Amino acid sequence: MNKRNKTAQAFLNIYLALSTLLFIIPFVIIISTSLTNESVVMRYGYSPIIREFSADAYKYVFKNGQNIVQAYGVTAFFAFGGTLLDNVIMALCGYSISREKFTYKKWIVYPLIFTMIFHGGLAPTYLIYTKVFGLKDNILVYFVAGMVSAYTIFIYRAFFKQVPVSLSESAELDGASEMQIFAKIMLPLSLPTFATYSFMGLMTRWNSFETTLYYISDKKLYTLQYLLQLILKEAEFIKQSMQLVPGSVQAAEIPMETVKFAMCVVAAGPMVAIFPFFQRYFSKGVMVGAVKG
Amino acid sequence: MKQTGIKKKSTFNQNLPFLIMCLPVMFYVICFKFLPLFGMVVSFKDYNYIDGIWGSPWVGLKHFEFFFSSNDVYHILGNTVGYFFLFYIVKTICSIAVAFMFYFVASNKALKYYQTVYTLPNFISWVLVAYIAFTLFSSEYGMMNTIIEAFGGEAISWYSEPKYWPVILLFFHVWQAVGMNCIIYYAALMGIDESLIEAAKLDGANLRQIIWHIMIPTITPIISILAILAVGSIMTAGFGLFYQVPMDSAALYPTTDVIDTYIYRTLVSGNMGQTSAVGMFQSLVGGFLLLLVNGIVKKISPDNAVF
Repeated sequence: MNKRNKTAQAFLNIYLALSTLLFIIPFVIIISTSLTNESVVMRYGYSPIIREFSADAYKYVFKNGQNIVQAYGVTAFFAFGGTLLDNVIMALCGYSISREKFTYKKWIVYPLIFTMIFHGGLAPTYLIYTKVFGLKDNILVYFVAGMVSAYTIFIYRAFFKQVPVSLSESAELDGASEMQIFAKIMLPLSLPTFATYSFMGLMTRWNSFETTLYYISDKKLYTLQYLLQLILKEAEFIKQSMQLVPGSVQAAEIPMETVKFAMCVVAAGPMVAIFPFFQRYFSKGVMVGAVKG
Repeated sequence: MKQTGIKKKSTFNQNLPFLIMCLPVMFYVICFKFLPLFGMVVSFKDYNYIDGIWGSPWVGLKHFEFFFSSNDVYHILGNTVGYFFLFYIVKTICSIAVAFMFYFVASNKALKYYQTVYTLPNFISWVLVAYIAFTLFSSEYGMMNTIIEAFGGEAISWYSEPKYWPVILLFFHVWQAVGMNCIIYYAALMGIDESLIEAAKLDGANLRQIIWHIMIPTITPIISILAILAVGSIMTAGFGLFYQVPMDSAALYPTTDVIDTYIYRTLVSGNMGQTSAVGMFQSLVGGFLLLLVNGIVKKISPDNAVF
């Protein structure tokens, strides 16, 4: 249609190209500020332009980065580990409730639907997690909180239902057990779905700060996002994490404003740079989630 | 007698491997989803740490009465529901507009670039969004004040002026969601039969007529179904945006406090009974709304029902 109309195309492209600045400039401001001389920032404010280059902030961050390294470790451990574990058990469950032979499946399906409708809420969940399971200041809370979504299980079920029955039947004739059918045939077949939901889970876990906010007070168990919000909200936290005495001469010398943003770049940068490359997985997940079937 | 016994046993044996496969999920659901439901009894108790969940004294509906008779209830529920409609309507209009623009872009390379950039905010955490908001609205060094002062205006203390925040929150919500949200509408547009459009063109229809009479009607069903389903989440405003972006500034509560942030603050204050009561209200209202909208969608379009 008007795809051949050159003026219309030019206007459309100029408009869209300009609108993308709205999504790029915010990131540029953060990176530029972290690379600008502290006194220039104090004078001209945060800016997308680097008026006077300085890597001082990064020197401070890398010299005193134990907190960030530790938070990277915790975050990577539970984000990758939790997502893998989560998706394996959800795929297992989704596979079994997809099978006709499983005549007791309503005992699984109805409780799962119930979890989609009603939840205990923050306080009861907090009390049960901490008092009954002892998850306060326990790294296992990162695995437990936000695991198992009934919705995703049903998407796995829908996927396994599409797989021709003849495939599992012939394997059964060859003497394969249900577990073998799942591990050797079904799981490899479901790899695209598995990858999609693993990436979505990984992103959600990587970006979450809530679990730390509710359950963790031990500094060694902070996640990256939680550490970042502390840095943003509490100037004192930077001084503390640099292991300096607040009010001392050294503490006063820290380029506070630029260090804040340098920490932000170091802590958030790598993943933000990686995730968009897996965009197609997310798009697929959004589509399945919106229009099932 | 013996016959049925054997039969029962064989059905059980047939089901056994599947039951074992469901075991991890069921263990999780029972321990970490169902047990907290029983924890809801603290809504009717004056919880204290010594007596615990079961031992604390019963107080009946005290916590509910307190919440509904407090001054907070109006602005919290008003904000939660108000933001829901504001966010949903603006986000949907923007997403549809962007989907149309993407549809008309001729160059595939350009389209790929636009899509990638538009979805960028979807991959970042609310903490990072808070940093971005801070670079704009910090009263000392923020870009907004720099610009205002450059034009001779008076600097604004953004983090203590509630009146600006509905717009700021709306902006960041749409900014974050539009790239992913438009994919659904874009896919619906791509699904339109080209021959339908070609035929309309032969009949002399112009672009506006094609958009109004062919494209909009084709995507209307999906717009309405998604809108109905969305009502199910009216009571969950989303904690990340409302807690992180205003940086939990107390001065902003009149326009930034929603049910999720209120629940969190009540939890921090240590009043378990009160927190649980508000959470129970949220869970019940949300649950029944979800049942309702799911029932409606099941009637119109069974494929799109959640369960």
